Amino acid sequence: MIGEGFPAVLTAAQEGSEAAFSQLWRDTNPPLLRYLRVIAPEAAEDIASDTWVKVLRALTGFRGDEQAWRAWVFTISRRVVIDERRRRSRKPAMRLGEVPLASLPLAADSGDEAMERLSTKAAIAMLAELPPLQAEVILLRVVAGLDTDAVARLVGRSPGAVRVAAHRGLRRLAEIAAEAGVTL
Amino acid sequence: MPNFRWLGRQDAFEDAALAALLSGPEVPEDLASGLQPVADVLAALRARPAGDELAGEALAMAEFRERVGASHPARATRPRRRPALLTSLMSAKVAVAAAAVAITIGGVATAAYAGALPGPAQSIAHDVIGAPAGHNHSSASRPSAHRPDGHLLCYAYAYAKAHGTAAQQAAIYKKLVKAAGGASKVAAYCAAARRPHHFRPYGCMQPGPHPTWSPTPSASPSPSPSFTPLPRPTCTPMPHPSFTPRPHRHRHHRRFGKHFPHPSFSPKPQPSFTPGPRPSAPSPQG
Repeated sequence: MIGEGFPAVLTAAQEGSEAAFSQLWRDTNPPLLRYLRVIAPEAAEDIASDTWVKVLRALTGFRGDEQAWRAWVFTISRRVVIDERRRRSRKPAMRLGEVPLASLPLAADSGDEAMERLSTKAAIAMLAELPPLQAEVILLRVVAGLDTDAVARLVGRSPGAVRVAAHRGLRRLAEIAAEAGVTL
Repeated sequence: MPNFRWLGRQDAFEDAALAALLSGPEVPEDLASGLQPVADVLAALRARPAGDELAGEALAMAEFRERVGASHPARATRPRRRPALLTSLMSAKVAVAAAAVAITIGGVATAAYAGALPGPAQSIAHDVIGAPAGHNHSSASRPSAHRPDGHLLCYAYAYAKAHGTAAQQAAIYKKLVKAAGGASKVAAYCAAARRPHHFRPYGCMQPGPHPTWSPTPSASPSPSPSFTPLPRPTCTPMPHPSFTPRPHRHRHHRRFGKHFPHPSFSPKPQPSFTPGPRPSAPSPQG
């Protein structure tokens, strides 16, 4: 999250500043990719690129604070995911257990960055084991940084349902972690 | 490990603790031990970006430059749907970039680095090889020489390999590595330049025989001492080229033999661009 400087960065980017847009992109793209790797793992990078094309088309017309910005970008991305699923005529279900935990590559190279990467991949794999709504809600809260109301609008449920799904997801994560014996 | 047989009960973990985990990176001090792995998972999800999550930046920046970068106060009145100009102007830009490289290799490098080239050529030399921006680079009323995007570095590098010295190749390769985000990413970066499918391709954008750009293994030498690439300039808004054909939907684009404007649109003449004198043979000195 950019924080207090967000309005200035947004305005500068809308006026054509590459440095400002670079900052926006670097702040928003990694969370977007993490979200997409869980809910659309087979096409995460492509969907992210298409998302940014659409975002750029409408960038100059966007008005809002950082929460609104994140909600907007993720809303666009969700629509691209849905369109992509329709186009591929696949079942609209997330790939549960897409990456079995046992098959995660052990970090051959040590170093903090490698371990962080492994941890993030492991975390994404565990989230993929959750029921779709629970995983998505947790990702939107934690990775996109949206509050419960924003997540509720995005997924089309009530805030209460979002809260229940998120909490159930976290409890299930605790079970998965216990079963996997994972320490990250 | 603690005993988890009672996890089936929904209230096994306090809602407050779960809400706290969801809300922010700080982990509550009295966190139940069974929730510690969950806190770790969430922390891993919140971790700083890894390299591969930032790899697409060059493409995003190129798209930004096409759609938003050349902004102008009059932009507010333009139609909201902006097509990607990259592909429609690709052939023009390739010619311009190639000319820019030719200028450099032909021995006008000194002039370019002194900022003394005529405006459009200076701005392209500025973008492609890092020469200083021309004195009128920031003039918003100057007719635009279309700012080449980073993919043209691939073409410029191919040209330098064919006609330039090792020092010139090294200079452009260095910029290419920077644009691609790493020497190992240059391959993918330039491959994307061939088929920019994210930019709603027009049939006319395919260049003819594609120059090969493959970097040779030895092509990452240290730059010659006399060459100092300038830092990346801050973006100065330039007027957007006036010709904007209507976009085609991605799945229904038709291939045109050459550039074909929408019937309701009358293009204005392209701004004139006069490159420097073309060298007849590669000059021995850089």
